[in-house]
Amino acid sequence: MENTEFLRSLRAEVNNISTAINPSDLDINLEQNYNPQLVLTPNSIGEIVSIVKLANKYGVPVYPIGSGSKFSKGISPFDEGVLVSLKNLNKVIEYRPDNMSIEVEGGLPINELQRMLAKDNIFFPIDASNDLQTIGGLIATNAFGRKKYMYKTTRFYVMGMEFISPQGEIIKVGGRTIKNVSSYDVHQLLAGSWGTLGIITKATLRVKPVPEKGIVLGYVAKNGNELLKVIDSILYKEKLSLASLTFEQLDSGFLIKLELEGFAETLKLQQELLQCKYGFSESSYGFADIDNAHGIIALPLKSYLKGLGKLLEHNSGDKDIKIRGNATSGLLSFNTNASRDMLQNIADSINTLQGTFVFGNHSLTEKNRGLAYNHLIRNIKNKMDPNHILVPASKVMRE
Amino acid sequence: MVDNRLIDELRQIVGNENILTSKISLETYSFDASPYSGRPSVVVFPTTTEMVANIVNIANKNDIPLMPRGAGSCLSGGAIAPDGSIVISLTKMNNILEIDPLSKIVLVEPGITNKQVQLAVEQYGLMYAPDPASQNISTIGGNIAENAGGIRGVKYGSTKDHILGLEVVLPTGDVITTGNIHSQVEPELDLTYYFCGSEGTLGIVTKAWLALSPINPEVKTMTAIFGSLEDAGSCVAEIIAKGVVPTTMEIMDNTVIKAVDDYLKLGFPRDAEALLLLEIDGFPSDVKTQVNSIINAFASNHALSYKIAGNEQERLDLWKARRSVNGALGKLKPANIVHDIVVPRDRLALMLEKVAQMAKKYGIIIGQVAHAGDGNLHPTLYYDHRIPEEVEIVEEACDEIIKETIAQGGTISGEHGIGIEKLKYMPLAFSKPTLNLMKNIKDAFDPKNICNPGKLLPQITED
Repeated sequence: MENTEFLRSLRAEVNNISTAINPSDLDINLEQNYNPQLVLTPNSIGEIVSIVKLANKYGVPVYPIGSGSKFSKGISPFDEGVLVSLKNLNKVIEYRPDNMSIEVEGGLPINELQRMLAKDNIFFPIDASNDLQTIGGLIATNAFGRKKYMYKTTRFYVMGMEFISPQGEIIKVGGRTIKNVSSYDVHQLLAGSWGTLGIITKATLRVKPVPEKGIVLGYVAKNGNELLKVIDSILYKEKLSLASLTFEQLDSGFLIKLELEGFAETLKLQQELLQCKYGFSESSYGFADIDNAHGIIALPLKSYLKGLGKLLEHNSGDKDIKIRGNATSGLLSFNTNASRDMLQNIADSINTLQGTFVFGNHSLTEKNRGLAYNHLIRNIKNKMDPNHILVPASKVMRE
Repeated sequence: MVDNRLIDELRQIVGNENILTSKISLETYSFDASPYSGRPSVVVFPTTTEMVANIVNIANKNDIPLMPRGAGSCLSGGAIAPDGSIVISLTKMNNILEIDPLSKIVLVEPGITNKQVQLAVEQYGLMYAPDPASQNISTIGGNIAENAGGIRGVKYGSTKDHILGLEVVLPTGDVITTGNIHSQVEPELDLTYYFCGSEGTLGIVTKAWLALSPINPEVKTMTAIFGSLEDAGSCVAEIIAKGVVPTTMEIMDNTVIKAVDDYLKLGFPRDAEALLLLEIDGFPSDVKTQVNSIINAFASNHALSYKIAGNEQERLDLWKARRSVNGALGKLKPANIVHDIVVPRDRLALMLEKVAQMAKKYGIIIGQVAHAGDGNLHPTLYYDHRIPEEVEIVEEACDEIIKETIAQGGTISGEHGIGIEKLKYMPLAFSKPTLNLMKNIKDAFDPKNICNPGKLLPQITED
């Protein structure tokens, strides 16, 4: 790519644009078969505009990237195009604690945001799985954390956005107010678009005061049956300030952890109840890792126990599977070398429960939204990105 | 054009009892709650998604504009039928299809009213959090189209915060299902939230999966009176900063307080510059903590006095002042226009003061009520529509209010939508490339521009 027209024009337009050949030069580790021809690290929004406009002119695919932690989840391997790292766009633009809002650039890592907000006893309610994940990346993937039950997903905290359209225009939508029905919520289209519809350069986020108190309680259920019973009661029968219910299979039994968040006095009462009635006791932070697993299952909450029951059944013959779960997010995960047959059996069970089962990076429960849905998504993409510049190897665009 | 042949085709689809064509019936469907009107050609009342799709197919094939309609309570002209259009009234698709208390989800048809949903889920100790003032009549479909907020919005957010998925008939006649009722673990573009607030311009919602919230066991209501708007404004900021999120936080200015006091004789001090009405909910122990916090905030921000309702009757009494605002002020002048601007919460007091100054400058009455917790102001400008000079002055004042809102970093509509009313302000709020992009996306959904045309997006002029 060194001598292409694209790069020559870019160098002519943008002085000192930093380029690298390998993503690893930027501490980005891509999986095998992801082979960008060049990595660009623009220093300003104007430079991104130049890159995208020239990419359109010369037909060069552009892949925006934050920390890269979810890159291969949403993007298929490719050999052509440039990576555009947002790492240098990491400033705070406008912080208004009295409005509970903050506007930041897309490349700001989540841990830096949290550190800054913590000074005012404020936090951004999405507990990212990785400290370095960028705000732009969290939004583009509509990420959620362990406490989704209480705090939902990233899209619900985006009040406004600036992004570079696939044709290189600077687009500003939304604002800094909680209520806003002025025209289309284009930022809601960008949230969860996995980079296909624009490069998120700025976002105005809704933030929250840190809850007065948070506690973690733990309990070891002796077997699968007891696990099911405890989850059933906690989730569906008790009224709690519940932020998460996670569990992991031990060599013997299951360690269940509850996180409660809210006002101190209320939590004290709830803790007493959980102690007396179920035997929960105060526990440490450190939770079952749901994300990093071969198999991940998502279920509607009402069929979660059935799904878990099925998985426990499949598991009875295979001691190697260690099941982990987040019942409040409806998630189950496990690592296994299980046979194809067994995976297919699990997939069939999950299908009947209207869930999704992803193994490796492949879905074994094909949810088909039908031609019309895929066609509409394509139409939107074509209208916004007629030259197919932005993330052409996306897994989001289905035929 | 809708001719007799098309009317017959529509009749075939929905049946004789579900179509209106007479001049008088059409007249009643030419309005919404805004001052505008239109001339529809026919009104149909489909009862199934398939019927809606068939109707849309006819409109699409014959290039006829169509408009989905719920209760027609839109305040910005979003539900004004385009001339010659087919109005698709969803009011006969008003069933609850499934209540799933374990997952806290209800699946409804779009024509059901917000209130009916509340009543249906109450028995499970659940509520549908968005509660717009129009909830007795406004439909879920309309709430979604306008992304309706509500009195509880400070704490619970607006409609889009509580929608999980939709079934939509696209303007091309295709039917799609969006969203997820479980956590998303595969990369996928979710269109659900783009339909929210799209004012019926992208398609017709025929089913909606709504997220429910547990009803909190205890509610506490209180009011406080302040000697300045600034004190009231900083009190609001302090309450929020302390981690207390009231379900409701309403503020009324001196003009409103005096008018309400004249009307109800509640004995408010005449020099009270601001009245704050707050409501909190939660577990009983939560409420106790929050009340203490709020009382401290009253004290540190120089509240002249405050009241806490001890029982339901006292609670209703405290609400009475707020609920009587329209009645009390309506006596002052025959006509009024109300805005729904929003500013960042830290600019609320300033904005209230700026609007009060404008009232003085233009010599008109502007009553101000605001949902203080979310920075949403409702300045209401009173005038006599029979006096052209008054109309002109009020229009000028409106323009200034909108411009000041944008200057304060706010937004021109927080509740009522753009519709027809605020089209002229869109170029002030959005750049040309942004408006062009919105138009492009609209084209992707509605290539023939037949779905509620003329709303939300202004005509973009070429340079």
